[in-house]
Amino acid sequence: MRPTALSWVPAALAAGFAFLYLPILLLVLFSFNESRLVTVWAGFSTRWYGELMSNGRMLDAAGLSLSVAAVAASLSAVFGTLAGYSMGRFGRFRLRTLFALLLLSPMVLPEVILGLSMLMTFTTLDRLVGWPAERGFLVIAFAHATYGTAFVAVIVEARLRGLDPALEEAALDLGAGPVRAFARVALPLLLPAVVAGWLLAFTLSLDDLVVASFVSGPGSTTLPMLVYSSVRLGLSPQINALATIMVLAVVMLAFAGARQSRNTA
Amino acid sequence: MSEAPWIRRARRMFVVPAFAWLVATVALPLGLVAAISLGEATQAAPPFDWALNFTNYALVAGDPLYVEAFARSVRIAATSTAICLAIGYPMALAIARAPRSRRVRLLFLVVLPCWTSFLIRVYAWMGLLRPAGYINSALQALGLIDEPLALIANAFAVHLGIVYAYLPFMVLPLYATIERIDAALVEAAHDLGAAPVRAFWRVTFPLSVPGAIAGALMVFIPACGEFVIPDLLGGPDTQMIGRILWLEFFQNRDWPVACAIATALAGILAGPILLFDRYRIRGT
Amino acid sequence: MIRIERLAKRFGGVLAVDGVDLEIAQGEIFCLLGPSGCGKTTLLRCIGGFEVPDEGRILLDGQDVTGLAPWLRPVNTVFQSYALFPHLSVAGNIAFGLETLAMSKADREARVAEMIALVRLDGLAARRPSQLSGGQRQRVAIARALARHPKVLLLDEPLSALDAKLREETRLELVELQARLGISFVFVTHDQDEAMAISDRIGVMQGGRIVQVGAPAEIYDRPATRFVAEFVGRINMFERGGAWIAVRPERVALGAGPHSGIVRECAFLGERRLIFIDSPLGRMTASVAGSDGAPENGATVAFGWPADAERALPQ
Repeated sequence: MRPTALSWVPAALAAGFAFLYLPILLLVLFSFNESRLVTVWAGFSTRWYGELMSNGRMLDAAGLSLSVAAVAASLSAVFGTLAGYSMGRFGRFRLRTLFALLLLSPMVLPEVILGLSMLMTFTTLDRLVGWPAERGFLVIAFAHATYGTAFVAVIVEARLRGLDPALEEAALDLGAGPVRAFARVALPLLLPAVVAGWLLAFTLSLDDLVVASFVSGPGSTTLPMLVYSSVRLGLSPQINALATIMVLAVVMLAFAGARQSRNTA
Repeated sequence: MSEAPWIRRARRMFVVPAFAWLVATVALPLGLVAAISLGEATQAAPPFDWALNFTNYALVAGDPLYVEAFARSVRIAATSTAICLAIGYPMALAIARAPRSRRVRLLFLVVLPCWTSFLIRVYAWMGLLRPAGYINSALQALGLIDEPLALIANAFAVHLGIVYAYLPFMVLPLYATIERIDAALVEAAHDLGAAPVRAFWRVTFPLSVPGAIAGALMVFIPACGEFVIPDLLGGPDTQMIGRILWLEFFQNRDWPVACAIATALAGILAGPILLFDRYRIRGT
Repeated sequence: MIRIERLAKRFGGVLAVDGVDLEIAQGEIFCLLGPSGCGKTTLLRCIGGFEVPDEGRILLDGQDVTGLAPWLRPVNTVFQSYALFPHLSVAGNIAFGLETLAMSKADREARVAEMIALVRLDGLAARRPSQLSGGQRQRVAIARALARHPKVLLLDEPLSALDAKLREETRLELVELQARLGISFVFVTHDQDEAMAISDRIGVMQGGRIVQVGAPAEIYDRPATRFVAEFVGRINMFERGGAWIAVRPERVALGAGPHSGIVRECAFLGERRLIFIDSPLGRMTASVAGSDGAPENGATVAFGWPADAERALPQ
């Protein structure tokens, strides 16, 4: 293609990136603002980070969110890998269409539907067997694992498609049963995808407001729930500081992940 | 066609637990929502009784509040999807035509915002759009306006928020499709006398349509049920159905009606979801 | 050794293997030869245990292994893609199959070392597959499959990933290796030169059936069907009295004979020269020594062949 042709296209890309990143950059910039008025610059300060770090409710919520995310991501990794492997390697089984649809649904259905459905399940379960009477940590983690599973499965299945099926056949040929073939050959080769899926499920859980709002009982407030109730009341420099920390953590994680995948590729 | 018993056993070891998990965490909960949508609200805890009547659906279908919210959701989601396509297509095209070594990095930049909190990204726009926000302050400081522009609590802000939040989901499948188009096809079009613009419309664009459909559905489907964006950026005239469901549940505490709304929404989205399943670009 | 009885395998509605009967002897190199889609790979996969036939039986040393899982069969496979485990070293790949055998660690290490020496990969034990050349990878695949001391080695197009020169050397090595081990090799190929060069016997497959089994010379000189004649080597074919007559180009002599035609083209192939002649019998090909002079294009030549060069084939 000649350089003059459609030359506005790269400019559109630059504009698109500006659109994506400018709001985040402003957010980060004003987290270092001295003033309580978030939109008026009054000099550099880190006081909001200090206040954030001594905000007990915020720290509790962050702690809950992180542990929920860790459990949800781990559950997702286990079942997502099983589901992705089932889809990718055992292509033709009965009810496969239903299986695929159940796997797809949590990814695409609106969160309000998912949240509502999870709560209905937990209350019905409580009625039937008396658990979970208090919907806390574990309930939120299970709810998050339902859609985390779907994302892990998609990533695992995608990676599986790039793996020669003869590798597992070779393992079977060399005396390994299916479980051993999976554990010794498929799993090590899928590991980058499982790790990426775990990270995605972790982030999704950490980010979720809607599902957690539906399922969590009184007394269990996740970080997004706290941020949401604070944000509804207006802008808060502490939220800017929190956002900056989250953005920084994500950027570092993402770069580490990208380097990792480059090295293993 | 016969199958070895050992293949069946091996498959069962993987498929059965995965299937059980999916039934327990997806099929059963969604089924419960559908079941409770036929129930009756009570003052008990939990506030519903099992029943088998369609009064909740009659209520939802008969009340303009709900019907208009459904219509508005579909309208706002559709418009936002169109805007995403208009912005996302050139971006995807530019990345697909960038030097191979740079593509991964550019794609990474598109996806990166998705990894930061959704809530935080919507919050960022509150700071920009408020009457005393960055945009109004800047315009006033430049003397371009006297009164702050009404940028927030309206349909404009909701559209902007949806486009901002879901743009990466449009770019990803589009990029994947465009990138896979054989460069020799465009060269062949040039060779046969088509100038770049013509080559684009006759070759690249038609071949990218599946990616555009997948991307559009990836924006449209979740946007229809969006709660956070209309809640934080919208106003009274931009009530979308996700928010109505939320209010029905948390404020009116009418679980059966909330379930009926959810079931109706799922029904509306079933078509697009099944379409998406056909078009989704695997591996993105 | 291997006995296959009325084997049939269907995929969807398509019969991939259609009633194959076959016996492969102890210690022979047997080749399944045929074009792609003829069912040769499916047949091999049935022997390996990766596919289960819809009908028929497979007996190994008299034992019915038809439904037996691959990991329980005394056969091993060299895959077309080699399927080396990329996360394991050469030694790790070779040791993989030994881990499920009751074997001391010392014995296992000794067996790995023995296999590495057998395929002459000394010094490469710690390498990853990605750090090996194509030829080296193929040797690892062979060593890995042989480490379990299988009764039969199955090879699926083992040479197709190698370049032409290496392929010829490797053919010889495979024959030597088989002679040293004395076990049966069953391999699959679509390359008739390869099949001719290394097999004790060849089974030519077409449309899921075995159409002829025999030694290479037998297949070449006495093809059972028109398909075999045309698939294996060049052949002249013409109709006479309701039968198809086949004559190999190297049996056609120029300069004298009952037939004549016009030379269309001469192709110089180094040691041989192919002369294409348009004659009343159709387009005929003669293969003459490359050092002999070639007739001019457009010249009229007489040609013929000895009576024993003709072979009549069923329609």
